[in-house]
Amino acid sequence: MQIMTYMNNSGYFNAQEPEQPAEAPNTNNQAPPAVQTINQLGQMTTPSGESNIFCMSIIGQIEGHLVLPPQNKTTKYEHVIPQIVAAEQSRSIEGVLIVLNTVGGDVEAGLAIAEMIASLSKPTVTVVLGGGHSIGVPIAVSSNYSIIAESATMTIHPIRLNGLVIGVPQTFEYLDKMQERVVRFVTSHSRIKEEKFKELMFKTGELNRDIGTSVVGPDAVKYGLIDAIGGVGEAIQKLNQLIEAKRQAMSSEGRSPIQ
Amino acid sequence: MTMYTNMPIELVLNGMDQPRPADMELEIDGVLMQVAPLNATSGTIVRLLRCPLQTYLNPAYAPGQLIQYHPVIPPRTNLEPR
Repeated sequence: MQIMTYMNNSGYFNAQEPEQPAEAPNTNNQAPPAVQTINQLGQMTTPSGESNIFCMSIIGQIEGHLVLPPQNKTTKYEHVIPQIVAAEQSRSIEGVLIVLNTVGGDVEAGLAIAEMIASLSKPTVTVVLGGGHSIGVPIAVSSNYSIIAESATMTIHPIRLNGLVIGVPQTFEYLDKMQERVVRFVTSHSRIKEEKFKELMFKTGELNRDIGTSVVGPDAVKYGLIDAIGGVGEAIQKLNQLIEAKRQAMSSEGRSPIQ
Repeated sequence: MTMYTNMPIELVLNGMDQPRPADMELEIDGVLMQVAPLNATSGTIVRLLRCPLQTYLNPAYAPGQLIQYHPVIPPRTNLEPR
Protein backbone atom coordinates (compact mmCIF):
# COMPACT_ATOMS: atom_id res chain seq x y z
CA MET A 1 0.00 0.00 0.00
CA GLN A 2 1.40 3.32 -1.03
CA ILE A 3 0.54 6.56 0.71
CA MET A 4 0.55 9.53 -1.62
CA THR A 5 0.09 13.15 -0.79
CA TYR A 6 -1.28 15.37 -3.46
CA MET A 7 -3.21 18.55 -3.84
CA ASN A 8 -6.47 19.30 -5.57
CA ASN A 9 -8.60 22.44 -5.75
CA SER A 10 -9.83 22.15 -2.20
CA GLY A 11 -6.48 21.67 -0.52
CA TYR A 12 -4.24 18.79 0.52
CA PHE A 13 -5.19 15.16 0.88
CA ASN A 14 -3.52 12.12 2.24
CA ALA A 15 -4.96 9.36 0.21
CA GLN A 16 -4.20 5.71 0.41
CA GLU A 17 -3.70 4.77 -3.17
CA PRO A 18 -4.30 1.28 -4.45
CA GLU A 19 -1.38 -0.62 -5.94
CA GLN A 20 -2.54 0.30 -9.44
CA PRO A 21 -3.92 3.84 -9.29
CA ALA A 22 -6.67 4.32 -11.84
CA GLU A 23 -5.54 7.83 -12.60
CA ALA A 24 -2.33 9.62 -11.77
CA PRO A 25 -3.01 12.62 -9.51
CA ASN A 26 -1.09 14.93 -11.80
CA THR A 27 1.76 14.92 -14.23
CA ASN A 28 4.41 15.39 -11.58
CA ASN A 29 6.65 12.75 -13.06
CA GLN A 30 7.62 15.10 -15.84
CA ALA A 31 7.96 18.19 -13.63
CA PRO A 32 11.32 19.27 -12.26
CA PRO A 33 12.04 18.15 -8.67
CA ALA A 34 11.44 21.63 -7.24
CA VAL A 35 7.99 21.86 -8.86
CA GLN A 36 7.17 18.34 -7.66
CA THR A 37 7.98 19.40 -4.11
CA ILE A 38 5.63 22.36 -4.35
CA ASN A 39 2.87 20.27 -5.92
CA GLN A 40 3.14 17.28 -3.66
CA LEU A 41 4.10 18.77 -0.33
CA GLY A 42 3.04 22.39 -0.67
CA GLN A 43 6.52 23.40 0.38
CA MET A 44 8.85 25.85 -1.24
CA THR A 45 11.97 24.17 0.09
CA THR A 46 13.72 22.60 -2.83
CA PRO A 47 15.21 19.16 -2.35
CA SER A 48 18.87 19.33 -1.50
CA GLY A 49 20.46 17.66 -4.46
CA GLU A 50 24.17 17.09 -4.66
CA SER A 51 25.72 20.19 -6.16
CA ASN A 52 29.34 21.07 -6.67
CA ILE A 53 28.48 24.78 -6.26
CA PHE A 54 27.94 26.39 -2.91
CA CYS A 55 25.67 29.45 -2.97
CA MET A 56 26.16 32.08 -0.33
CA SER A 57 23.81 35.04 -0.05
CA ILE A 58 24.86 38.29 1.54
CA ILE A 59 21.78 40.38 2.26
CA GLY A 60 20.77 43.40 4.31
CA GLN A 61 23.25 44.89 6.73
CA ILE A 62 26.56 43.15 7.24
CA GLU A 63 26.60 42.72 10.98
CA GLY A 64 29.98 42.85 12.64
CA HIS A 65 31.05 43.52 16.17
CA LEU A 66 27.74 45.09 17.16
CA VAL A 67 24.44 43.19 17.25
CA LEU A 68 22.04 45.41 15.34
CA PRO A 69 18.44 46.05 16.46
CA PRO A 70 15.87 43.56 15.13
CA GLN A 71 14.44 45.82 12.40
CA ASN A 72 17.63 45.19 10.41
CA LYS A 73 17.95 42.20 8.15
CA THR A 74 21.50 41.11 8.69
CA THR A 75 24.23 38.87 7.39
CA LYS A 76 26.31 37.76 10.33
CA TYR A 77 30.02 37.59 9.62
CA GLU A 78 30.61 35.01 12.34
CA HIS A 79 28.47 32.64 10.25
CA VAL A 80 29.72 33.62 6.79
CA ILE A 81 33.42 33.27 7.62
CA PRO A 82 33.20 29.63 8.80
CA GLN A 83 30.96 28.96 5.77
CA ILE A 84 33.78 30.12 3.49
CA VAL A 85 36.27 27.99 5.42
CA ALA A 86 33.93 24.98 5.16
CA ALA A 87 33.45 25.56 1.40
CA GLU A 88 37.22 25.74 0.91
CA GLN A 89 37.75 22.57 2.88
CA SER A 90 34.81 20.59 1.43
CA ARG A 91 35.67 17.86 -1.05
CA SER A 92 32.36 18.08 -2.92
CA ILE A 93 32.30 21.87 -3.43
CA GLU A 94 34.18 23.01 -6.53
CA GLY A 95 32.95 26.59 -6.85
CA VAL A 96 31.27 29.30 -4.78
CA LEU A 97 28.51 31.60 -6.01
CA ILE A 98 28.00 34.73 -3.92
CA VAL A 99 24.69 36.54 -4.35
CA LEU A 100 24.70 40.10 -3.07
CA ASN A 101 21.87 42.42 -2.18
CA THR A 102 23.28 44.48 0.63
CA VAL A 103 23.12 48.02 1.94
CA GLY A 104 26.58 47.81 3.48
CA GLY A 105 27.42 47.53 7.14
CA ASP A 106 30.44 47.08 9.37
CA VAL A 107 33.70 47.98 7.61
CA GLU A 108 35.76 45.37 9.44
CA ALA A 109 33.24 42.57 8.89
CA GLY A 110 32.72 43.48 5.23
CA LEU A 111 36.42 43.64 4.48
CA ALA A 112 36.96 40.36 6.36
CA ILE A 113 34.37 38.62 4.18
CA ALA A 114 35.84 40.21 1.02
CA GLU A 115 39.36 39.08 1.92
CA MET A 116 38.14 35.56 2.71
CA ILE A 117 36.36 35.29 -0.67
CA ALA A 118 39.41 36.69 -2.48
CA SER A 119 41.69 34.14 -0.82
CA LEU A 120 39.55 31.10 -1.72
CA SER A 121 41.42 28.65 -3.92
CA LYS A 122 38.16 27.51 -5.55
CA PRO A 123 36.55 29.53 -8.37
CA THR A 124 34.21 32.27 -7.17
CA VAL A 125 31.60 34.36 -8.95
CA THR A 126 29.64 37.24 -7.39
CA VAL A 127 26.26 38.45 -8.63
CA VAL A 128 24.97 41.83 -7.54
CA LEU A 129 21.18 41.86 -7.61
CA GLY A 130 19.25 44.92 -6.49
CA GLY A 131 22.12 46.63 -4.75
CA GLY A 132 25.63 46.15 -3.53
CA HIS A 133 26.21 49.39 -1.68
CA SER A 134 29.00 50.80 0.46
CA ILE A 135 30.93 47.90 2.03
CA GLY A 136 29.12 45.62 -0.44
CA VAL A 137 31.39 47.05 -3.18
CA PRO A 138 34.62 45.35 -1.94
CA ILE A 139 32.67 42.09 -1.51
CA ALA A 140 31.27 42.38 -5.05
CA VAL A 141 34.75 42.74 -6.56
CA SER A 142 36.43 40.11 -4.37
CA SER A 143 35.56 37.14 -6.60
CA ASN A 144 37.31 35.78 -9.68
CA TYR A 145 34.47 37.11 -11.85
CA SER A 146 31.80 39.63 -10.94
CA ILE A 147 28.39 40.10 -12.54
CA ILE A 148 25.80 42.81 -11.96
CA ALA A 149 22.14 42.82 -12.91
CA GLU A 150 21.29 45.59 -15.36
CA SER A 151 19.00 47.33 -12.88
CA ALA A 152 21.24 46.83 -9.85
CA THR A 153 23.11 49.75 -8.31
CA MET A 154 26.19 50.25 -6.21
CA THR A 155 26.46 53.36 -4.06
CA ILE A 156 30.01 54.55 -3.64
CA HIS A 157 30.34 57.19 -0.95
CA PRO A 158 32.75 58.29 1.74
CA ILE A 159 32.72 56.63 5.15
CA ARG A 160 30.76 58.90 7.44
CA LEU A 161 31.46 59.60 11.04
CA ASN A 162 29.36 57.54 13.44
CA GLY A 163 31.71 57.00 16.29
CA LEU A 164 33.56 58.84 18.98
CA VAL A 165 35.35 62.07 18.10
CA ILE A 166 38.61 62.23 20.05
CA GLY A 167 40.04 65.14 18.13
CA VAL A 168 39.02 66.51 14.76
CA PRO A 169 42.33 66.02 12.87
CA GLN A 170 42.83 62.56 14.42
CA THR A 171 39.27 61.49 13.61
CA PHE A 172 39.63 62.77 10.06
CA GLU A 173 42.87 60.87 9.65
CA TYR A 174 41.27 57.69 11.06
CA LEU A 175 38.32 57.90 8.64
CA ASP A 176 40.75 58.59 5.81
CA LYS A 177 42.65 55.41 6.67
CA MET A 178 39.43 53.38 6.77
CA GLN A 179 38.50 54.75 3.35
CA GLU A 180 41.95 53.97 2.04
CA ARG A 181 41.51 50.31 3.04
CA VAL A 182 38.31 50.11 0.99
CA VAL A 183 39.81 51.98 -1.97
CA ARG A 184 42.93 49.80 -2.00
CA PHE A 185 40.93 46.55 -1.87
CA VAL A 186 38.52 47.59 -4.62
CA THR A 187 41.22 48.90 -6.96
CA SER A 188 43.41 45.83 -6.48
CA HIS A 189 40.54 43.39 -7.14
CA SER A 190 38.89 45.12 -10.10
CA ARG A 191 39.89 47.03 -13.22
CA ILE A 192 38.78 50.42 -11.87
CA LYS A 193 41.52 52.99 -11.42
CA GLU A 194 42.08 54.58 -8.02
CA GLU A 195 41.46 58.07 -9.39
CA LYS A 196 38.14 57.01 -10.90
CA PHE A 197 36.99 55.23 -7.74
CA LYS A 198 37.88 58.23 -5.58
CA GLU A 199 36.19 60.54 -8.06
CA LEU A 200 32.97 58.50 -7.71
CA MET A 201 33.37 58.34 -3.95
CA PHE A 202 33.71 62.08 -3.47
CA LYS A 203 31.54 63.27 -6.34
CA THR A 204 29.07 65.84 -5.17
CA GLY A 205 27.44 66.46 -8.55
CA GLU A 206 25.29 63.34 -8.50
CA LEU A 207 23.78 63.82 -5.11
CA ASN A 208 22.73 60.49 -3.68
CA ARG A 209 21.23 61.06 -0.24
CA ASP A 210 24.00 63.45 0.76
CA ILE A 211 27.22 62.64 -1.08
CA GLY A 212 28.56 59.93 -3.31
CA THR A 213 27.59 58.27 -6.57
CA SER A 214 25.00 55.68 -7.43
CA VAL A 215 26.58 53.49 -10.10
CA VAL A 216 23.99 51.54 -12.11
CA GLY A 217 24.83 48.13 -13.67
CA PRO A 218 26.12 49.19 -17.13
CA ASP A 219 28.16 52.05 -15.60
CA ALA A 220 29.76 49.66 -13.08
CA VAL A 221 30.96 47.57 -16.04
CA LYS A 222 32.04 50.68 -17.98
CA TYR A 223 34.17 51.91 -15.05
CA GLY A 224 35.77 48.46 -14.72
CA LEU A 225 34.34 47.88 -11.26
CA ILE A 226 32.36 44.80 -12.33
CA ASP A 227 33.22 42.37 -15.13
CA ALA A 228 29.85 41.89 -16.86
CA ILE A 229 26.12 42.51 -16.91
CA GLY A 230 23.98 39.47 -16.27
CA GLY A 231 22.11 37.37 -13.79
CA VAL A 232 22.15 33.97 -12.22
CA GLY A 233 22.25 32.11 -15.56
CA GLU A 234 25.42 33.90 -16.68
CA ALA A 235 26.92 33.48 -13.21
CA ILE A 236 26.42 29.70 -13.12
CA GLN A 237 27.68 29.42 -16.69
CA LYS A 238 30.83 31.39 -15.85
CA LEU A 239 31.37 29.44 -12.63
CA ASN A 240 31.11 26.15 -14.50
CA GLN A 241 33.63 27.46 -17.05
CA LEU A 242 36.04 28.43 -14.24
CA ILE A 243 35.55 25.05 -12.54
CA GLU A 244 36.24 23.24 -15.83
CA ALA A 245 39.35 25.37 -16.45
CA LYS A 246 40.61 24.54 -12.96
CA ARG A 247 39.92 20.84 -13.46
CA GLN A 248 41.89 20.86 -16.69
CA ALA A 249 44.75 22.82 -15.15
CA MET A 250 44.95 20.41 -12.25
CA SER A 251 44.67 17.27 -14.36
CA SER A 252 47.47 18.57 -16.61
CA GLU A 253 49.56 18.89 -13.46
CA GLY A 254 48.58 15.35 -12.53
CA ARG A 255 46.60 16.36 -9.46
CA SER A 256 43.07 15.39 -8.51
CA PRO A 257 40.59 18.21 -9.27
CA ILE A 258 38.86 17.74 -5.93
CA GLN A 259 41.31 17.81 -3.09
CA MET B 1 33.20 49.80 14.91
CA THR B 2 32.57 51.87 11.83
CA MET B 3 29.43 51.49 9.77
CA TYR B 4 29.72 51.97 6.02
CA THR B 5 26.18 51.85 4.76
CA ASN B 6 23.93 53.92 2.55
CA MET B 7 21.07 53.59 5.01
CA PRO B 8 20.62 56.45 7.49
CA ILE B 9 22.58 55.49 10.58
CA GLU B 10 19.77 56.64 12.88
CA LEU B 11 17.47 54.12 11.17
CA VAL B 12 20.00 51.30 11.46
CA LEU B 13 20.70 51.92 15.13
CA ASN B 14 17.14 52.80 16.13
CA GLY B 15 16.18 50.70 19.14
CA MET B 16 19.71 49.97 20.28
CA ASP B 17 18.79 51.20 23.75
CA GLN B 18 15.70 49.00 23.99
CA PRO B 19 15.97 45.92 26.21
CA ARG B 20 15.94 42.65 24.32
CA PRO B 21 14.85 39.23 25.57
CA ALA B 22 17.78 37.22 26.84
CA ASP B 23 19.07 34.55 24.48
CA MET B 24 19.74 31.03 25.65
CA GLU B 25 22.21 28.35 24.73
CA LEU B 26 21.00 24.98 23.50
CA GLU B 27 22.86 21.94 22.33
CA ILE B 28 21.12 20.01 19.56
CA ASP B 29 22.80 17.01 17.90
CA GLY B 30 26.21 18.11 19.08
CA VAL B 31 25.72 21.70 17.91
CA LEU B 32 25.88 24.31 20.64
CA MET B 33 23.88 27.32 19.52
CA GLN B 34 22.56 30.60 20.80
CA VAL B 35 18.77 30.74 20.44
CA ALA B 36 16.43 33.71 20.77
CA PRO B 37 13.16 32.45 22.32
CA LEU B 38 9.96 33.32 20.42
CA ASN B 39 7.49 31.59 22.71
CA ALA B 40 7.32 28.62 25.09
CA THR B 41 8.09 26.03 22.44
CA SER B 42 10.08 27.73 19.70
CA GLY B 43 12.94 30.08 19.05
CA THR B 44 15.24 31.18 16.27
CA ILE B 45 18.92 30.45 15.87
CA VAL B 46 21.06 33.51 16.58
CA ARG B 47 24.46 31.94 15.98
CA LEU B 48 26.28 28.66 16.24
CA LEU B 49 28.74 28.58 19.12
CA ARG B 50 30.39 25.19 18.77
CA CYS B 51 29.88 22.70 15.96
CA PRO B 52 31.64 20.70 13.27
CA LEU B 53 32.79 22.94 10.40
CA GLN B 54 30.47 21.34 7.82
CA THR B 55 27.44 22.33 9.93
CA TYR B 56 27.90 25.88 8.65
CA LEU B 57 27.02 24.65 5.15
CA ASN B 58 23.72 23.17 6.36
CA PRO B 59 20.92 25.72 5.76
CA ALA B 60 18.90 24.19 8.62
CA TYR B 61 21.46 25.64 11.04
CA ALA B 62 21.62 29.13 9.50
CA PRO B 63 20.87 32.14 11.73
CA GLY B 64 17.16 32.91 11.70
CA GLN B 65 16.06 29.27 11.34
CA LEU B 66 13.26 28.12 13.60
CA ILE B 67 14.01 25.71 16.43
CA GLN B 68 11.25 23.87 18.25
CA TYR B 69 11.60 22.52 21.73
CA HIS B 70 9.20 20.32 23.57
CA PRO B 71 8.58 20.18 27.31
CA VAL B 72 9.22 16.79 28.88
CA ILE B 73 8.62 15.51 32.35
CA PRO B 74 12.00 15.04 33.99
CA PRO B 75 12.87 11.57 35.21
CA ARG B 76 11.34 11.10 38.61
CA THR B 77 13.65 10.10 41.34
CA ASN B 78 12.40 10.65 44.85
CA LEU B 79 8.88 11.65 43.75
CA GLU B 80 7.88 8.22 42.46
CA PRO B 81 4.97 6.61 44.29
CA ARG B 82 6.04 3.82 46.55
